[in-house]
Amino acid sequence: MPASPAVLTQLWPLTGRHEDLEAIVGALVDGSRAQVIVGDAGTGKTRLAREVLRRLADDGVPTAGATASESAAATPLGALAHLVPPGALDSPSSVFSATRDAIDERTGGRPLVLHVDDAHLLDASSAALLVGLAEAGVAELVVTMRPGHRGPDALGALRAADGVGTTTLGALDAVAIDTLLHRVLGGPLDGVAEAQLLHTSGGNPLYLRELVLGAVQDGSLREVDGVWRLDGGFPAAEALGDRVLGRMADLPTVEREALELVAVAEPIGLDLLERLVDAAVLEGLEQRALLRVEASRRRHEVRLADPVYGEILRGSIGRVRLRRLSRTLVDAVTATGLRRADDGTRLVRWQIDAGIPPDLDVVLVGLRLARHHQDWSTVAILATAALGAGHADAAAWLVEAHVALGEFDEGDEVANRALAEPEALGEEAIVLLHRARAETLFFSRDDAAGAVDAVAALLPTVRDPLQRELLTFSQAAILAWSGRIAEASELVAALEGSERELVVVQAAMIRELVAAVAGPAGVAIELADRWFARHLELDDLNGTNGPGFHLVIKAVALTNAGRLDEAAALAEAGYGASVGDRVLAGQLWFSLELGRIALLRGDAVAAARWYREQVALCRATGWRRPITLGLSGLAIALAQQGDAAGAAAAIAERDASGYRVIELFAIEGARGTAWARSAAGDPAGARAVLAEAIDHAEAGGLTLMAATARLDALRLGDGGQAAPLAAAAEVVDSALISLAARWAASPNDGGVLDDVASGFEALGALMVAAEVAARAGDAWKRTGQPRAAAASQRRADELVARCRGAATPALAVVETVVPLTAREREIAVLVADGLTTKEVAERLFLSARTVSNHLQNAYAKLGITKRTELGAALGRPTSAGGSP
Amino acid sequence: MTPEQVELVRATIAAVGEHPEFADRFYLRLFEVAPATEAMFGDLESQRRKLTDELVAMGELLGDLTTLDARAAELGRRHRGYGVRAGHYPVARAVMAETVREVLGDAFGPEEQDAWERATMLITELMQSG
Repeated sequence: MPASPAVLTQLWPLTGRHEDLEAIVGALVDGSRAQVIVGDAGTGKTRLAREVLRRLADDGVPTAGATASESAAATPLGALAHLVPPGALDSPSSVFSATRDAIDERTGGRPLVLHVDDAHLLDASSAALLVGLAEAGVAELVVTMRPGHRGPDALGALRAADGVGTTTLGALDAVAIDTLLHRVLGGPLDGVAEAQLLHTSGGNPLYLRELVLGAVQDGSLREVDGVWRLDGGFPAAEALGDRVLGRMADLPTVEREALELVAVAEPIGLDLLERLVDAAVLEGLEQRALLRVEASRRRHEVRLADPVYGEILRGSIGRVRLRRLSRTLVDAVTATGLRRADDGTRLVRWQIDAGIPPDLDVVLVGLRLARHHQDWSTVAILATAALGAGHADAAAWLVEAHVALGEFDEGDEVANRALAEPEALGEEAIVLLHRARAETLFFSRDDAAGAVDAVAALLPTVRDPLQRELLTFSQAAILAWSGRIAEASELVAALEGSERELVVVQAAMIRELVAAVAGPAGVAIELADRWFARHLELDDLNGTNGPGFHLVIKAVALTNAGRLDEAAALAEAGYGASVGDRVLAGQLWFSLELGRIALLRGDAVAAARWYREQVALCRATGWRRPITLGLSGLAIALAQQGDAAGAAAAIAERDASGYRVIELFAIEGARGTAWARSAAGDPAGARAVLAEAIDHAEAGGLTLMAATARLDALRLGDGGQAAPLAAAAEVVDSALISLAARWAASPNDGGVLDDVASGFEALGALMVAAEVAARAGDAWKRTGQPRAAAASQRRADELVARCRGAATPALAVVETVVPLTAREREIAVLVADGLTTKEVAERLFLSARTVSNHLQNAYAKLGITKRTELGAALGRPTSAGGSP
Repeated sequence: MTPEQVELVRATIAAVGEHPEFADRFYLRLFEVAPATEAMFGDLESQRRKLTDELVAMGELLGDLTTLDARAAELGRRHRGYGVRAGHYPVARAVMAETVREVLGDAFGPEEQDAWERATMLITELMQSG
């Protein structure tokens, strides 16, 4: 290898980013909780973040670093293990306080500036801890992440918080690249080489570095008489990953394998690595700028020179090789003994990858954390490992994770194997397995009775009171989902007196759910707020439904109450959080609710998009039964856009799915069928479907859901809604239903309808508002008040214009108010101008009978009965007495 | 930078040296665009001299990065002491290029300007890295 300037293989100087550097350092000195640096691979995010930390450290500010990666994410707190004191992991709630105290002690109470690399890869536990530390003022974060990656939800919330800045890094421009090259090469570069380097790198500093290092090492880029020149050319532009791998491909096997070891284990202690790799090899890699060694607080740590290298290398290592590398690491650690507390967590990861039974105690601690944060993919990995290590009860956690991930069949398989040897299982595991089975039966097999039986049959054999209560909770939940809310409420009443907060919080969920569908909506909202907060305060969320479910219920209740803006804000946030944290159930329910909200807001296009997403999710996972709700919603959204065929297809797919609509929301299924029929030109059929479903829902006590369907019935022309809506409005506490009741009570009173339309508009229920305004116009016309009629019609027009894709039957009134056919308009205008029917007939070469027919049609469309009203109805100046 | 660009920059600096009004115009324009900088440069008489001297010295050092780096770093530290922030550098670079064009006219063509931008970027990056 030809000699190259030392600066080439060291950290390249930060170039073209000084304004960003100064702004970030300044913000942190001023107490910013976090600074986020966003950029594509190789743009220099990590470089900039390290410079920020160096500047602060020079001024005596305490600093530390952490790197998230796919491999670290598999063990909870994997990326932060070095910050969490040993012993803190015993309970999820003590992690935060113990870590906070440890940092305070280390920094003397000053905030620790913590650099978190590739934060989009953090596991949920780590993200929650980091954000907690930042919010408490214990740490100020410098976070780097890729654009377009959401990362865990906690991170998203942090980014939106006050005092958090975001810096976006793009490519460097030609002048900055020139400066960078000049500085690392130490002198001028010939024009051809410079143009090629600039072009091929595309201004990406890491790519540039790869190109230069590769060319210097193979001798094609050389200094001749004080000027750097290029012999030959560079290979054509290729993906950064290929470029990096290309440079590594030329390495001798032993060096390449050393890099792979670091990729799997980084950061790895130098002492440990030296046991596995000859020191001379490591020196060579350091000289080639592939590795870097950093002095941490107590020892030297080795990392790949750039985080991107690790990502690329790990992606190129096959399973078999990963197994062998992991085994090498495990053997080395076992031979030397653990050096630091956090080695335990890392060792487990290597043991899992090596297929070696891991240290069970460490796995169990990790499992507890991952379950607390509902991090189900991690739970699945760790539970599998624990099962492999002989811990039979871990089967229950594995099944729980499978169910949460929508992998019901896989869950069943594990559960059947475990329950075949029940004597090996503890009572807690048996109960959890049965609770998971009940969920599987209900949501994946459409077997509500079997689900109830599964838990009821076990109940008499369970001794532990907590486990009995959890089992009862599951039973109550299935009953509620099955629409049997009275029986569910009875079981809940017993659970509410429990001494265990865990149980009380769970029972409250059912209470909220019942209130959200039966009313009063305000009670559901208030309960959901209260119990969500209590739920979050639990020391340990293990074995509970996620706290996010309170928010799903609250969104349903807000929608039913007509508080659409609040409902939308909550559901959007919840949806985002569910995507970020990969909580499938949250994604399913929030997307349904967002569809329902969009429909009410008059945005049928957005509604169809949300429902399609929900349907796709159901198809892609084992969560099959909720697909009936998504398809029903989709049918409504398509019907309201006038797409009768699409709506019918959605209903047909739903009815052929083999699943019934979840009983608690059977109303939504009936609404889908009804709107599809209405779009197909069968309004009577539509009303009949709704009437039957409403009766059934009311008999089951689902008063509020039934009332929302009565609003649909009203919209579809069912006149018999006045008394039942008035009764419902008394008890359900919903502005939406109160307005519907007023509409139903005075369907022919233009003044009331105008008022009701304004009410719906104020709620943001634009499509309904438009429909009611159109009816108001109709009513005014029939009572002979064309001016008021015109005003209402204009309102209706304006409201329709704000709805996307609206074409509902009630709006047909709007369409036909003004739009006369060309011939009708022609004739009407002539008559309004004072011509007689005969005169018009002569002028237009038509028979008097034809003119008369057109005129009658025009009267009907305009809602008038006399010639003298024509001028006003057409918006023309009146010609009193006719023209000469 | 290519060796040819280094030569272009040196020639430009020499040509600017023929225009004693260059420094005055530079500061006048700078204070107009970034008024906050006026207070940073107290004794304008000595600043004027320093500016021309620095330009000549830096031009000479463009082929010797180690010495250039040391000198620019020292200059950068002085500027930090005046209160100059990272955001001032791009402004000052642009003002300087405009002033050079003003005094040299057509002699400061696109090639000269390109070389000039690269040289001033290099120097200001070195100033901020020290």
